[in-house]
Amino acid sequence: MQQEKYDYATNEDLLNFVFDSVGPKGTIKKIIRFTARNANGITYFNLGFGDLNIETGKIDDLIITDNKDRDKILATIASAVLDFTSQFPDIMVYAQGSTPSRTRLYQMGIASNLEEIAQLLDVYGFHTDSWSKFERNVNYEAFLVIRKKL
Amino acid sequence: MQQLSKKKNQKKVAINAIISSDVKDYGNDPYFIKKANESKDFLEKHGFPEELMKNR
Repeated sequence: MQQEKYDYATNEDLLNFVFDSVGPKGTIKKIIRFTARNANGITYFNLGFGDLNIETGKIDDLIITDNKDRDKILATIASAVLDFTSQFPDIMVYAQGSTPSRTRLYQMGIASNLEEIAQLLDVYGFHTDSWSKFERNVNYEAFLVIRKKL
Repeated sequence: MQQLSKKKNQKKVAINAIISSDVKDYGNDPYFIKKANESKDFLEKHGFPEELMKNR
């Protein structure tokens, strides 16, 4: 990933990725989790992302911490998706934000890293009741990616 | 749900992540479960890209 990103860790199953966001609001632990589901007979993974609440040990997605590192966080998530799909190349990954503005953040992250992502992944967006290949400047509701068959 | 496993003859691809046994499993976190279930609802309603279904 050419854009600056955080160092991040995963364990052997590559389903959980963790990294620290560092900025004016301090150090915030971020969690990326790929969760398997089956829809209409198709198995895929959902990409979940949120802040770890240190006090409760649970994920909080709606908190806005604003460490002024949005692009770095998005590049880190994109890199984790590339890592994950390199190990599960035949499985789609679905992503949607908890709010429309969060979905738009994902969209911005894809658009900012598109040249690199598109070399390895086919990216689809859901817009006006249908899926289509991702294009910049279209407001999508959700995203699906899958490793390209090279 | 189909069995998910890395193919035994699959070439190991280098990844950017650091592999650590200290990374916890968040699979039972209510937030991630909720989001995954919402994704299933969305995809059962709207389906998958036709292009990807043709190749299956």
